[in-house]
Amino acid sequence: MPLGAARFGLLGGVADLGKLELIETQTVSGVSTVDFTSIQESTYNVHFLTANNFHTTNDSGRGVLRFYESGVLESAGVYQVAEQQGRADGVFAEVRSTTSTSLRYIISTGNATNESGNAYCYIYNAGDSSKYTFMTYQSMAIQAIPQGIMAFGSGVLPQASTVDGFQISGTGISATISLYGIAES
Amino acid sequence: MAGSLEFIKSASGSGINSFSVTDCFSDKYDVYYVSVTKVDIAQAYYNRVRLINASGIDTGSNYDYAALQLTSYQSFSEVRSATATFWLYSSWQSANASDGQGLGMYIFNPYDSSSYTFMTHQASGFNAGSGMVGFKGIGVHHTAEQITGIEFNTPTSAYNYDNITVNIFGVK
Repeated sequence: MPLGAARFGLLGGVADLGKLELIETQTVSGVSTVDFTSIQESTYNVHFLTANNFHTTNDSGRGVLRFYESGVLESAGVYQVAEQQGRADGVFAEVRSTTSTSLRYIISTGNATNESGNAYCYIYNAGDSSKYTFMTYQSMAIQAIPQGIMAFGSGVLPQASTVDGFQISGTGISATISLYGIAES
Repeated sequence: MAGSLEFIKSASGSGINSFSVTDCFSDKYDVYYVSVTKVDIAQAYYNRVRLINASGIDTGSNYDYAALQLTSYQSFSEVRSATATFWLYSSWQSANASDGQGLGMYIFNPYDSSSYTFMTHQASGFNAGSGMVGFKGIGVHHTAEQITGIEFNTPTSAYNYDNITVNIFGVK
């Protein structure tokens, strides 16, 4: 039975909520890391991160994601990941870890002309120091074979902490990466 | 403005195992984004989802779903049903208050009385003592009727939501 508004804090119609707002776009070439350190985590509970035309200088290079906790990059084996991959030739694979040093984000790409990857991910509760920080993502690329590959999955930094920055890393990255915030109550 | 995500409603509840967000779907949008990130639960369980029509929550066997459960600690598994009374596997929530979760769900055509209501979702949660539990899946409510709201529920009061917040957006 539907419960009445009196029991819940209904905030419909409040101005300035619910916009998909661009926080920052970075277009990079030949770098090993791309940092977003002004993510406005106290404003946005959900972030949306897109990667477009992602190239690496090494063949089969991928882009991984790490979080900054109160300004300190977390690079220890504390992330947990689960990814389903599917390749155009019919090869599908599961990838999982409870001790990963990073989150998976952009599936591996070839480095020849027109071989690139694209991806998006949602990041949840980054600024909430009482919650873990979760993410879900989907990615596709042209691999070195060459052929199309897709990947989707989930990840978590299972530490109740304030995440105040995101880092995408890889080998010789060229890409356009945009960070958006989704304003909620 | 065309091409944007527009906030419709945020609703929060506590001490219940059935939580409804009413009158959130209308003729203004065809596609909706549902975001759930703030959940505390008395006992770990899946978040089950039903839809609300003119008579209230549809409790009939009108829900199909198919999802891949992705876990960081064991082999993935397929979950599916063509005769369910809810969309069962939208996300997983542990009883540890510090965990939370991230669930994003797109709902298609809920208010169109001549169309089924379709859903895609992707989620990341945590199973305390084991590890991460994710889902990616689809659902359909195979009754052509007007849907005006959405309900999240667990089986009994033993699985009460200590806190839950759901945000609804229209995709313009």
